[in-house]
Amino acid sequence: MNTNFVNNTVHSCPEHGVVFRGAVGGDCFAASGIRAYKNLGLAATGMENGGPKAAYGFYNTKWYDMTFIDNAKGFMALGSNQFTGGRLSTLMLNDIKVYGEYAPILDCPDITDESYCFNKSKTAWGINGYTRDSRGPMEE
Amino acid sequence: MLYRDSWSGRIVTGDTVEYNAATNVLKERTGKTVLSNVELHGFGAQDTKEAAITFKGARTNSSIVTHCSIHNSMAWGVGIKDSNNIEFTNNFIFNVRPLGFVIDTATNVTIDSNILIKVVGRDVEGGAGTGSMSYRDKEGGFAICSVYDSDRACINVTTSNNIVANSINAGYWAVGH
Repeated sequence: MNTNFVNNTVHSCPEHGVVFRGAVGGDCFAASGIRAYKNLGLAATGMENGGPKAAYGFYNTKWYDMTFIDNAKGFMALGSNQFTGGRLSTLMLNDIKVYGEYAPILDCPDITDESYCFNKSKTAWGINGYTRDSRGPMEE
Repeated sequence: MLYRDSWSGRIVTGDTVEYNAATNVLKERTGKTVLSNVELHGFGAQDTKEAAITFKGARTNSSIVTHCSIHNSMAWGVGIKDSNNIEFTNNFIFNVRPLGFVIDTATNVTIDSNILIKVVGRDVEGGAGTGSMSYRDKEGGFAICSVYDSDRACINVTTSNNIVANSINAGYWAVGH
């Protein structure tokens, strides 16, 4: 597997910005080059869920060169020790910028049902997204 | 529900082999597509994986799609599978479903400076719009070598300088490196 994912942008999605997945047979997992703003789910997340043909058990995960602005649920690298045979995994973050926004929405239509503009509780970083176990691979 | 314009066309590129029974000769046909400044409206087969622009088994020649618009498709916008040597740059994709740009098992593919806006769910069972809890479609904007777990075999696939807005589920499904 040899892919290059750089300098891409995602915004205004009703759910997540980007989901990074692992390469088959990889021992480590790096992701980079994304700008995400104003998404209602996670700006970026990583999945290491196992598949039927390979164990995506990455021992080291590295994220770098990412900018997240005003996303509802921040970013979170997910992993599972289930797929590393119980061994510890390491998450390394370099050059990650996270910005929030808390200001009146001046251009919101003058209505009261919050269908256009509403405040959300926001998260910057879902720390320690690694779990001891998970429900296992999803069916095709 | 089928719409009147639910199937208006596809552009499919691939390699194949023809057999002439009269002469007992096999002839190899290799596909190549060069599109520039073309608008595709309503292409793709509704609620299937038959994308408006499809590369399937196009392993021999080089293809280029640039400065085109693909919009109001009832299916995927672009689908690339088992194909090589494709340059897809500076295109605009709008209102497709439930995946915008899908690539699986490919070599030497460049996806650069494209804009993808509004990827919606299907309105059949499994689509996000139906509220089905038992099954959900694979949905998203750019799905780079990551839609089908068994098909994550990509070599030299570059995804750069693209923009996604308002895509269901996730703007990008991308493989780490």
